[in-house]
Amino acid sequence: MRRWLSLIVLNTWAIFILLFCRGDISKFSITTRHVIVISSSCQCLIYPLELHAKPTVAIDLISLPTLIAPSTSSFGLIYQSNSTISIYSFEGRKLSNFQCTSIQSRLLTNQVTSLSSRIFAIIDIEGHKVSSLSCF
Amino acid sequence: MVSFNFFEIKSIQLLEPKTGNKLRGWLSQITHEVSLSSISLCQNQIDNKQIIVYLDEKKDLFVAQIPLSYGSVSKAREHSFAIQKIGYQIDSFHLNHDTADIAAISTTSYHIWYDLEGMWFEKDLALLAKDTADLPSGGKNSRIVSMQSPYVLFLRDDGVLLKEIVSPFHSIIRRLVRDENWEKVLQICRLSKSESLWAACAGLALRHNNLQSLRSSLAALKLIDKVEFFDSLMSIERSEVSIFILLSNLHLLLFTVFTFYS
Repeated sequence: MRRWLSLIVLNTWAIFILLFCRGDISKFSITTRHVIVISSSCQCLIYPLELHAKPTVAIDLISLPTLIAPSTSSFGLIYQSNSTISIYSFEGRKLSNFQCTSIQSRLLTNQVTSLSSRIFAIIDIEGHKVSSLSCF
Repeated sequence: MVSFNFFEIKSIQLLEPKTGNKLRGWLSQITHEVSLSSISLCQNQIDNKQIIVYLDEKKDLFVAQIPLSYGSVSKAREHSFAIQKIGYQIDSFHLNHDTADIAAISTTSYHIWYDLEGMWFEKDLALLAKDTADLPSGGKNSRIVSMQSPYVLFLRDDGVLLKEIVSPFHSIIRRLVRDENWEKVLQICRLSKSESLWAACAGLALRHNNLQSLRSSLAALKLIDKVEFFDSLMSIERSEVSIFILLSNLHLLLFTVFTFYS
């Protein structure tokens, strides 16, 4: 049961605990101003870092995303099952939704993807392979 | 006997988050000869250019600039990914999105590059603006989780956070340069006597066309040949027109002398 999330303020070492009643925490991500939490009941909750008692925004999702890609102005939810990426603003508005075949059949981590306000970058394997054939 | 050697080229695909389209023709991907292990985009754009930092499996660290807007198509074609290799034997890195500083862990030490913007301006100076220190005790196999001046936080495998103090002066001089308070910048540099700080100051002076601070910084870095070249340039003509030309071409001239002497 993963129903609480402890936030440690590094300057003061103060600890805040976020408790969840509607399901377990499936995934979370932290940006400079927000904490994004995906619960197992397919809800995306956005907490501002200044006032983290209540989520300011709750987004109902169709399915659980594989990865959260955060940036300063928006965040992306990556669904590996149907190779789609949904970009949301921190106010809960859906900015875009597009397909990206590069995210199929590979281990997705925050190290292989990165999102900024203007660019979404992902490490990709190029299709061409150079093979050498030697016969004896 | 038949043997196959498969060689894969890894690349970074760049997409526009609003539409999902590829960035723009030739800018849609960065190809690299070695497999890549991690990437990070800087959240702040500098001069309408996006910085991307990536680490390959040979443990080499690279930075690249992605131009985001152009005046015309012909001008756009002149742009390319200005890729610079800045480190080797790097295990992991962390990018500070506010200041565009990079902290990276090597086997037993950590490095901080303070002048990332200068990598495309004057690389030799920018590479001097780097601090290296030993990892804190027990910090082997740790990773950097936060870098907010003057602290760097390492997370060990067992979940222990280690706090290291780094130079606070780099962020201070950047703030002072924004306020055009060059006198204080030089005072701080003289006080700290740090080579990396002088190099960062020289890079900032070069980008902000402050000749006196640049000369002081080069002298403090003991780059005597460059100071002499600088003085010879200054003694050629002292009219306003020549100074203007000098200012506009200074980075080019310094680059020439750097490459000539190195």
